[in-house]
Amino acid sequence: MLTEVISYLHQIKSHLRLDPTTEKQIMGELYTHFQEKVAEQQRSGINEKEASQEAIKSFGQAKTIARLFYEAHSKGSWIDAIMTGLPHLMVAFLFASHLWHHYILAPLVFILIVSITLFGWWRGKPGWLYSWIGYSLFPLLLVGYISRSIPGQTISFLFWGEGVLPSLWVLLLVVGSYILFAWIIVRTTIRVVKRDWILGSLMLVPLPILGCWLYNIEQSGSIFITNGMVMHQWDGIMAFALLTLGISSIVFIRLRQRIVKFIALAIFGSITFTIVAYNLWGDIGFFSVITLTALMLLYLLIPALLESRVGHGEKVSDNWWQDMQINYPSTTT
Amino acid sequence: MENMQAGYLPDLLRGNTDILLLSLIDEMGSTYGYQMIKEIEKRSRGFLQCKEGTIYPALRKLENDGLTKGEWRELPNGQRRRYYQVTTSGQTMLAKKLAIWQDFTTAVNLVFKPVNT
Repeated sequence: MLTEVISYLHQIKSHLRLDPTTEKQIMGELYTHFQEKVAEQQRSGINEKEASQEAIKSFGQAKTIARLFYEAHSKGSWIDAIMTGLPHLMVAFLFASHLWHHYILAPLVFILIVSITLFGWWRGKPGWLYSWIGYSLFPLLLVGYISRSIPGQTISFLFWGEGVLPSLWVLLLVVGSYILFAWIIVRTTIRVVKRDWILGSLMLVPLPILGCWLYNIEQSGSIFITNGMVMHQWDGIMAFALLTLGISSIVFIRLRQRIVKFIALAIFGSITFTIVAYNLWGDIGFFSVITLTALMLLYLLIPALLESRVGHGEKVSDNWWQDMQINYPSTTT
Repeated sequence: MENMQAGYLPDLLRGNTDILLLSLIDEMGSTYGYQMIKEIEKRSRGFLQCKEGTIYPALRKLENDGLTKGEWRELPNGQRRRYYQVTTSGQTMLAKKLAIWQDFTTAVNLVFKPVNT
C-alpha cells in the first residue's frame, strides 16, 4: 500500500481516541477498504499512485471520519454508565452513612475500588474505568497529605534549627513514598491522557472536592480525631457532591459528542466544587465563587494541555500498518 | 442549482444513511462496507454519492445499537473482511422506518401534486 494511504489512515487513527481494540478493528476495516478500492482502480488502468489519491479523495476528510467513528463508539451502554457512576456512589454512601471513618469498611471500599481499577486496567481499559482510577489515586494523596509533617519537621530543623529531626528511616520511607506516589500519579495520568484527555478530566474531577474536604478535616484537627460532631459535619454535603458527580459521570458516558461531554462534566464539576467550598468555608462571596468555578474549569483542562505535550496513542501505534499488512494481506499480492 | 444540490442532497442522505444501509444489508443477507458503497452507487445510478468514509462509522453505529452484527471472515486468498448481518431488532427497526418513509414520501408527493377530490 502506498505511503499516501498509510499516512492518511494514520491521520484518522491519530484522531480516533477510542480503546486500542476498537481502533485496531476500525483500522483493519479501513485498510481492507483501501486495498480493494486501489486494486479495483488499478484493474481499470489507473496507476497505483493515482488510484490511491482518488481513494483518499473519495473517502473524505480524515478528521471528520475520525469524529464520526468517535461518535459511533463514544456512547457507552447503560451497564458502562452505571459502572462509571458506581465509585462515586460507593464513596457517597460512605459519607451518607457516616462510615468513612470506619476502620474496616472504609479501607475495604477503597481496596475494592483499587482492585476493580487494576482489573479494568489489565482487561483493555474499558470506558467505565476512568472514574475508578480517580478514586484509586485518592488514598495516595491522602497518605501523602497526612504524612506531610515529616518533611515539614525536617525542613524546619535543617533550615531554622527548630523542632526535632525525624528518624532517618522514617524520613527515607516518607520521601520514597512521595517519589513512588508522584510517579504512579504522573504515569497513570499520562497513560490516560494518551488515550483521550477528556477521560483524564473525568478521572480527575473528584480529587479537588475530596481535597477540599480533607483540608478542612485536617484544619479542624485530624482525620483520625474521634470528635464525631466535627468529623461528620460535612458528610451530608460530601454525599450530595459525590452523588452529583456520579450522575454527571453517567450523563458523560451516555453522551456521544466530545464537546457536549466536556461541557456536562465542566458544569457539574464546577457547580459541585463551588457548593462544597461554600459549605466548607461559609459565605465566600461572589468573586470567590467565580474564581473557584474558573479554577475548576482550568483544572479540568489540564489533561488537554498535557495531551498537547505528550501526544495521543500508544507508542506501538506508529507501526500499526505493519501489523495490518500481516493480518490483512493485500489482494494484489 | 448546483449549490443547492451540494447542500440539500447530502443533508437528505445523512438523515437516511441508517435506513439505506439496514435495507441493503437485510436484502443482501450478509455484506461488507465496500460492497455496500458500490451497491448504493449502482442502484441509484450514481445519484447517491456519499463520502465513502462516512459509511463505516454509520455501520459501526448500527452495530453498537444492536441493529446489525459484524464479524470478520477470512477469504480463500487470506484477505479478511468485516461482514454485516441485520439482527432481529434491526429488522423490526427497518420495518418501522420503511413504513414511516413510505408515509412520508406519499405525504410529500400529495403536497407537491395534490389529488383533486
